[in-house]
Amino acid sequence: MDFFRRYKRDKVGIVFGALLVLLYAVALTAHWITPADPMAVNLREVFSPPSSAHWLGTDQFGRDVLSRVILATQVTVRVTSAACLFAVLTGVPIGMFVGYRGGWVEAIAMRLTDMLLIFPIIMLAIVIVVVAGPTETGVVVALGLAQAPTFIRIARGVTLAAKEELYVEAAIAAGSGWPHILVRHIWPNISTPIIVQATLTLPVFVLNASALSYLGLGVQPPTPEWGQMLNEAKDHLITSPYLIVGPAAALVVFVLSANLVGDVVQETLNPKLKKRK
Amino acid sequence: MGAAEPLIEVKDLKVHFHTEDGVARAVDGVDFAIAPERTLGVVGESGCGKSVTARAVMGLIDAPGRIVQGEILLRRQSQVVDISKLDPRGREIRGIRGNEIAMIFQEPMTSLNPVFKIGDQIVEAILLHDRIGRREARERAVDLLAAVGIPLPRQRFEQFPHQLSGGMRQRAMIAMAMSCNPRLLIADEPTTALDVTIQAQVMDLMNALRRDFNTAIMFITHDLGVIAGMADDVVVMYLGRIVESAPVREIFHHPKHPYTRGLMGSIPSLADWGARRLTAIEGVVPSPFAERQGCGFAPRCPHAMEICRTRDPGLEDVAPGHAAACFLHRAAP
Amino acid sequence: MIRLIVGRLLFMVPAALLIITFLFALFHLIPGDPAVMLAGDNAPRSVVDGIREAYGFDQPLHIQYGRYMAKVLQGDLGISNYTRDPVVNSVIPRIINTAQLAFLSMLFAMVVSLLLGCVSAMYWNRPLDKIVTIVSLLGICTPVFVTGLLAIYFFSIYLDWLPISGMSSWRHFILPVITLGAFQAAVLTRMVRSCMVDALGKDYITTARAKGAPELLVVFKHALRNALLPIVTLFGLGLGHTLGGSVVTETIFNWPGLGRLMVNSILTRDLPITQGSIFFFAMIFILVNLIVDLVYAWVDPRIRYD
Repeated sequence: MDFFRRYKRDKVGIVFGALLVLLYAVALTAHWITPADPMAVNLREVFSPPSSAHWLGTDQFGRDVLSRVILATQVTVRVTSAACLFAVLTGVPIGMFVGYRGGWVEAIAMRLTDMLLIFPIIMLAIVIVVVAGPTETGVVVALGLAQAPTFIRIARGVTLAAKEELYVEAAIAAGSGWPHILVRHIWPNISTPIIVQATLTLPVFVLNASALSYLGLGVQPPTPEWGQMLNEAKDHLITSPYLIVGPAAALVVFVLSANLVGDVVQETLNPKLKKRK
Repeated sequence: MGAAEPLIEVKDLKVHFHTEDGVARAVDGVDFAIAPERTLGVVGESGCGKSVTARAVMGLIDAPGRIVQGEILLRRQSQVVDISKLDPRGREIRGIRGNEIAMIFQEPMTSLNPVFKIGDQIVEAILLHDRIGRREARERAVDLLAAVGIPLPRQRFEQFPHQLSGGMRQRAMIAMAMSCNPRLLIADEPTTALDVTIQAQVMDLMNALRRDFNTAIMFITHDLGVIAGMADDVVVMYLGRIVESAPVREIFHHPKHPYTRGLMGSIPSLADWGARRLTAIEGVVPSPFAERQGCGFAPRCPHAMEICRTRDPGLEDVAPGHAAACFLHRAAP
Repeated sequence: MIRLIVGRLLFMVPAALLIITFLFALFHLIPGDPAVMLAGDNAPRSVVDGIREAYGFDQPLHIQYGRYMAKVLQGDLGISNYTRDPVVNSVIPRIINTAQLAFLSMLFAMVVSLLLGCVSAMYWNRPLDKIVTIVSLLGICTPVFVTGLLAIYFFSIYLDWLPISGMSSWRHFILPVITLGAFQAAVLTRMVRSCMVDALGKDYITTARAKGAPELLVVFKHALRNALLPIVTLFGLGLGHTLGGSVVTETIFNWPGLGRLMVNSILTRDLPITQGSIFFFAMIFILVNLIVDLVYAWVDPRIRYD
């Protein structure tokens, strides 16, 4: 495909793309590749520093930190993928509909969207967690809804532009119903900008998911999550500082890869951007 | 050209742009000179290197562009400076820019800084070079605005660029360029972006200034009609080189190079208008990345011969003061 | 300009009403008896009934809504389940603490990002620019709680220079402000740089150079003054994000601010406090947004003089 051929030209894209693929592979195979049971409590082996048996040491319950970091990768991938899908599935139909419909419906929807965009994602997410509850599902709903306004905006913008196209006007004139027009004629225009936006917001999802868990409002123990592991590690920072190494590094590498891949995907699909850099 | 010592002399200038796609030879060996108080017209299609040449004279070539060869000699009373050797961000070139050599640009809409008042932008140009008080500089700026034909100069002084029309902005640009009484004014397509009626007014203004300020002008355009009314001498550029150079009358009455003739053909005259036909030159300007072989114009030339594709003609005199780079006007080698 | 200010101020009224409506909706969106939520899980029966009476939870929705709206508009956001103090009394001092943290962090971020962004644009595509770009990229990929933990470990535990938590002296400010500010600085540096690269490519920059203006004047007067238009907006957004980030930062450093109050109230199911902190956070964001719009209008002569 043309996209991959052009993507391959970017060295940064290749390296961090590979890293991201690796992280997703780790997430998918987490249950088989953990060196120890990430949930197994071993009170005789609490707070053991990194060693050949436990590369990243063990935590306050004697659980193997490396295994927990690996399982947490899966949790993060699961949560952020679901949240991203949730945001797309709520935002895009709303954006397409109000963009197509126009009039006061659009005016009110966009006014509300603009108002929501004033607030930082983490704030919206926290407020939604109050309703949805501090659970894994809560995080998915919270982050998904909090990011939906971004997708509403993009979907509406593209729909507005597509509506002006001759073939769409012709379809309207021919009496096609709006569901048909939205799906057949407008959706094909929307997929590319939505994919770009989704890749660009992936790191935002990761950062906010782990922030919620750090605050205790997200994934709950004993399920491991990087933010949540860091929160627990903070209490033992004086005695066992090595506990922060694994989750912190995994988190930064994931976000870094996602960020760079997002940039390269955007540049690949929209080469004009690169010239300006 | 005039017998006087040239004010500026460009010798074998080469400016190359090193980009990802290769080396673009934007200016590829250009020689010309401008005597004091004379006007040199530089003509060519877009992309022929005329603007890059002008920027080189201002010392304004930025990365990825680089002057790879040649000299740009500015003659002063006692000494000669080679602009091409000066640090483009250094103190010496800054003392020349805007002071001895000033420049006006094609786009009056974007060439003025939108967030500063017109007057303050002119005052800044004055204060950069003259040690005078702010109040005195303001007075001079108002006088300049009046001199370039801007009505109500005191009110205009306080306005922002977006409050002025295109023609007025170009007048303000000219006022700014003339603020330190430069010896050479470089005008890079100053009328291209303007309406036809405004164009004529700006041309009249520049002609008047030329007399009043005794400034030499390097006038860049793709429009031979404009050159006819302005220039004393003309150089025609193609693909980064000069293909013909002569006094203005000579070039209009006896154009030698097929490219020059082609350009003449593209001037819309009333007769052409009647026939609804423009004699444009066939084809497009080749990429400046391409390796040059033979005469650069050969692929588009209606008179191209075998030799044109293999050997480079080089600029040679065809009449006194008239040079052309074309084998058609040479005794067989 | 005055019309703009009045228009934006009027926009705050429906926004505030919407927020109060949302706070009211919380009673019924959260599973459970709203009267019990307001009274606290272990409140005696009589207290719960009293609250049900006062808020009209046994009445139809529109009457409940009317009563709640009236209460909030009178400045009554309820009583904390735990301290039994009026919510407003515990929220207001927290706002000041959060404002101090957010303001200083933003100041830090603004100074750093303007400096690095301009220098980076000035040395565009050269080694210095690349170093700044890489460092700021790492910065935006490192969440505040990672930076915070590293800072606490290094400066408070390993070097023992700075206190870990609280806000009792100026030394307590250093780590939280830098932790929160550094992340914003990284985000903003990238944006300032791209605004400046954009501005430095404009025609009027060539004009300024052609005048003979020295490079510092070209960059810091001609380019920066134009880049300020988008930068002001970015700084406004940045201030919003700094306030958002303050929630996490306050939790890391036990900063007695509004964000930590909100998080704790959610964890302890102290709904009145949660509602109060959401209300004030929302009003702060709307106010910040308003101020940014006004500053923007003031910076852009095309708006100011027309």
